[in-house]
Amino acid sequence: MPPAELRFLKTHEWALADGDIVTVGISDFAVTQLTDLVYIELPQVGTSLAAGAEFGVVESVKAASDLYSPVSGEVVEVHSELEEKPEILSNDAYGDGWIIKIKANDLSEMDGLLDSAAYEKHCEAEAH
Amino acid sequence: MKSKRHANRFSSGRPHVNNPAVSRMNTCHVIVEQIPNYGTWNMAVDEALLNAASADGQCWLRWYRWSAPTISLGYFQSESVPDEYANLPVVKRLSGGGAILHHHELTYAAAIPRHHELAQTPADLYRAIHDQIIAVMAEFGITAHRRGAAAEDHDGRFLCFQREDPNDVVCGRHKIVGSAQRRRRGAVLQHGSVLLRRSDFAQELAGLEELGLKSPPVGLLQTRLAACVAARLGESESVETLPESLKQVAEQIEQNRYRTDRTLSPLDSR
Repeated sequence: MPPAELRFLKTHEWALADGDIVTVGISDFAVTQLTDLVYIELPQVGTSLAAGAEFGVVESVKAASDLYSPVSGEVVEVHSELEEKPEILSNDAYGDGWIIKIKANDLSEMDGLLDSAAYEKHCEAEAH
Repeated sequence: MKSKRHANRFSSGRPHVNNPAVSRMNTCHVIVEQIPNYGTWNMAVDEALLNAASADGQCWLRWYRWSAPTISLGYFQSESVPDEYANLPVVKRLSGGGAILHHHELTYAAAIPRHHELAQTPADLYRAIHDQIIAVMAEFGITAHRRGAAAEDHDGRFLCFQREDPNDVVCGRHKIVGSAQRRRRGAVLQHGSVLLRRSDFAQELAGLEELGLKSPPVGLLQTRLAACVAARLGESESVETLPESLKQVAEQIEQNRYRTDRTLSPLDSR
């Protein structure tokens, strides 16, 4: 099961709140489905995001996939090392593979995300 | 939308082409364009189809050609184009992979919704569509297959057809079909290119004609490819013209994204 402390979008991004800072990445399931990641496009620090808005793109096996923000807020940190080493994301999706950190406008938006168990069921449904 | 169900236009009486499951009976809207169009419009229409798949759950297949030799760049490719293509129009695709020289080739765009059985992994849709194309190639006397695991890593090369990927369709050592995807909220846009014959701009790349294609009219080949690929995506419904609602979306996309994209130099004329 994915880490219990995380919350998820159906589009496979995860979110972890620490105070009003929300760290965002993509799930192990997504990484496995996409296979080797080769490119990532990241937003600039200071970018304002709405909940559900696109914030970046990853490419694997010639498939470019959009990334979506779980919450609204401002991008305060970007894991720019991923641009040179996208394999970090593949190797540790829930840890070193974090993508951005957002200063959230409204943490109650986290309540609308899937918990770990619900996300696992969602993945099982998608896999069949 | 002017449309007809599958049986009249796309039923050919030819031998059965593998068609397992037929994707739980999605309706697949199929457009086979007879008039080539220019790059920014082609890309804008494909993005409109992806949006229709993502937002409305629609399934689309479009086959088309380009009105002038054009380079389309993969989404992550550098905007610097090698000198030999410097005078050609350039457009950036939503899909990944390498650049395509659209000259003496057929292009397709398949847009499928997230609930489609082929939407789950990139490989599912590559294999499904490429296998249908391989079956059509056989009808026209070309023996082709997916490259498979023997692919070498040539990702640094500029053109898609200079690169190797396990899902490529090859005839002998020649790559004749390459595809790439954009995935948006679970929906998938898959672009692909079928090389018809050698281009003066890339003489090292042989097309179907050089590989023994029994010179059918291009329209016949295109129609047959559309029929067989659509049959794998769902219950085909041919559409003669792009619906007005999608056309308007495409016009907005073209204006907002592609006409303002700085990679589009020189712009071709409408």
